[in-house]
Amino acid sequence: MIGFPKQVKDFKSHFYKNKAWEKSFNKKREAYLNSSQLIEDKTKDWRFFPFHKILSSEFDFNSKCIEIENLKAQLKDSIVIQIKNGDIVSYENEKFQVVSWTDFLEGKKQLPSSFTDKIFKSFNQQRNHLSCLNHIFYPRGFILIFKKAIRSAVEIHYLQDSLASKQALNLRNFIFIEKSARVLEFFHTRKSQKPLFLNIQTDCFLKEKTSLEYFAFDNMKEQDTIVHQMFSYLKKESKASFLNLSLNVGLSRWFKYVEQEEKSESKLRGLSLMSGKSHTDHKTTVKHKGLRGQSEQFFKSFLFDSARYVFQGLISIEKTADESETKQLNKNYLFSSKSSALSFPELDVCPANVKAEHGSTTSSFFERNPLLFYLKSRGIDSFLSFHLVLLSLLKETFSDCSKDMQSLIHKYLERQLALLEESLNQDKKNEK
Amino acid sequence: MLKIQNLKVQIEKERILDHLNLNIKSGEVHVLMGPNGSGKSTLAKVLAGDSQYEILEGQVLYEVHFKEKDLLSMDISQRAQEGVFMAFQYPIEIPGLNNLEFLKTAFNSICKHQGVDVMKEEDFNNFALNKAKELGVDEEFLKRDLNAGFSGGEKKQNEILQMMILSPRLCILDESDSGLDVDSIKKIAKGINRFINKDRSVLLITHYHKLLELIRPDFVHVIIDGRIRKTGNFSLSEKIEAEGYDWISKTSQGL
Ligand SMILES: Nc1ncnc2c1ncn2[C@@H]1O[C@H](COP(=O)(O)OP(=O)(O)O)[C@@H](O)[C@H]1O
Ligand SMILES: [Mg+2]
Repeated sequence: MIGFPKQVKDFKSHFYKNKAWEKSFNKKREAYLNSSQLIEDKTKDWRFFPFHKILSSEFDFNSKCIEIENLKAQLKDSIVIQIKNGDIVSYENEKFQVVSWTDFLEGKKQLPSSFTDKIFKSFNQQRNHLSCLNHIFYPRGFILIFKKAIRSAVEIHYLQDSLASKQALNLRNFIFIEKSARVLEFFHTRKSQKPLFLNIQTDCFLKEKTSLEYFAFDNMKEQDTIVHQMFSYLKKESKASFLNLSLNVGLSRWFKYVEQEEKSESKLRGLSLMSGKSHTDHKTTVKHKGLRGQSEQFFKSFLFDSARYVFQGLISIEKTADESETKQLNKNYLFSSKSSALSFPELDVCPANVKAEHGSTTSSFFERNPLLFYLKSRGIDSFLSFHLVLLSLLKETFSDCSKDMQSLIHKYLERQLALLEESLNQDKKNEK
Repeated sequence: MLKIQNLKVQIEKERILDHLNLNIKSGEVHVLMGPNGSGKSTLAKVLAGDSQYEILEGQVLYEVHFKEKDLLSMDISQRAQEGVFMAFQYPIEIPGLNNLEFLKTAFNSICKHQGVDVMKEEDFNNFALNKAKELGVDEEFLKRDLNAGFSGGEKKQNEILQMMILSPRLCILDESDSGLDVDSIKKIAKGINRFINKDRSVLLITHYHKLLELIRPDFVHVIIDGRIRKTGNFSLSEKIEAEGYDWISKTSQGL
């Protein structure tokens, strides 16, 4: 693998030492936040395409969300939950219910006992170092219950708009899927605000024969840190698909845990676009517990400047999970000689009759690249060639998502690229 | 149109082209034949602007509107905009990039460069569709992603389709006939024959006589170890088809 510095290897190993994890992570985070050249120090290996401009586009808090009007038109009965600085109010309609922690703990909102059991069990498991400790006394976040099928999506926006000093926000969410659902989750911070440490754990429970499509978009900034953990439990014949689109948050750790019963299907996808000195870990653990389960993991990263990316994927197929099928693919694209990517696949298979595939590739764009050569040789200039290649590589990640989700993501990406072009033109004008 | 003079090229310290000379005039069809590894694709890629090859010596002059330009100093996309087109021996796949979208972008880039008005989207779509029909390929070609999941033969047909749409002046075809069945070769020959006129030139790299029977080239060159060892006409390719290259390596003293 291309020049991977020692400190990152050490950093990665913290995954395995759970007790020291929090401490070291905080230390790393401090060091990261205190490093003075956080934004200015862009290594210019890759000069003609100032990619960081895409990533630093500001979210407009007043207009609420990325093309939300558009979105609403597309997804008719969608609702928007805004979680401003962590607090929400309870909300209910015939299709779903959002319960705030205050209402739940004070007994103002009752939940079926099967849900309550799961919630308290999850808190008691202490599986999670960081989030448990913080949440036991004062949980924030929400409990979301899908009661009837919806064609559209529930949007959740995390808005962090505080200018207070460095701060941490811990959220603990539960999602119960009684009927098939879609969730869009957005994280927004402003570049001008103080660094934020966002720590989110979401537990998802899928009932038999239900499905969930879950998209998380992070629009956080270089100074921010996110630890996002998602635990999902798939009952018989249920289907879950998770997608992460991550744009340049400074330091991030995405962990996904999936437990699958008989004939259930899971798809995990991740796409990270990173620049500056960003570091991202994607860790996945998929446990096949029942017969004939299917799982797929597809993670991609685009690394600029001195960004670093680590993918660790564990697939564990238990004795009871005969005839399971699993596929794992990690593709990394390096755009600068200082960027680096690491991939650690792990496969733990008990039964004999199992189909498992794994692949991992890293290709560099800072040297001669065959894709770019091909496009340029047809008369398309460097900038446009890159634009097309980037977009196509991005699209590949979502190629099997549902149509309207695909078009939503494409719009989002195209908008980001358009913003970039605008700012480039602005630059040109300024030069003149 | 194209003058290659004393071209020396290396990659990873290994000399691949050596004192190569070639002169192609407008309206001519030249054929380049030679054993595997003799440097044919290298020449094609150097002309297209592949930066992995190091040019040690020599120059390449490309004539545009009666003015000779130094081709090697031009950027890859600039060469294409000036009318140089290479059909790849191994076209790559770009899943996620729509074929038609790609062609439109390329076409518009070339139009812009040459100061021609850009076509309306609908007009271009029809134009591309007609070209596909002319070549006799499936219209679905245009709707699919660029070469994604195409068979070897389909990829090569797609290269020819691109050529017909982008209408270059100098066309370098690198083994566009390899691995194709007779019908596909006929299609490609048809494409090339329609393409040729007095203002355009073709450099055709091939191993087979079959395509040449359909195209009837003006010149046939044989390249061995990075040098052109023999030049002749159509009958030279017939002789190679029958006897191989050995006799040339033995008799020629090099140029
Ligand atoms: N990227 C490369 N790296 C190293 N050697 C190369 C590369 N490309 C071509 N060569 C070498 O250059 C020689 C000519 O190759 P090529 O031009 O592809 O031959 P042809 O097309 O005539 O079969 C071969 O010996 C090949 O191994
Ligand atoms: Mg070749």
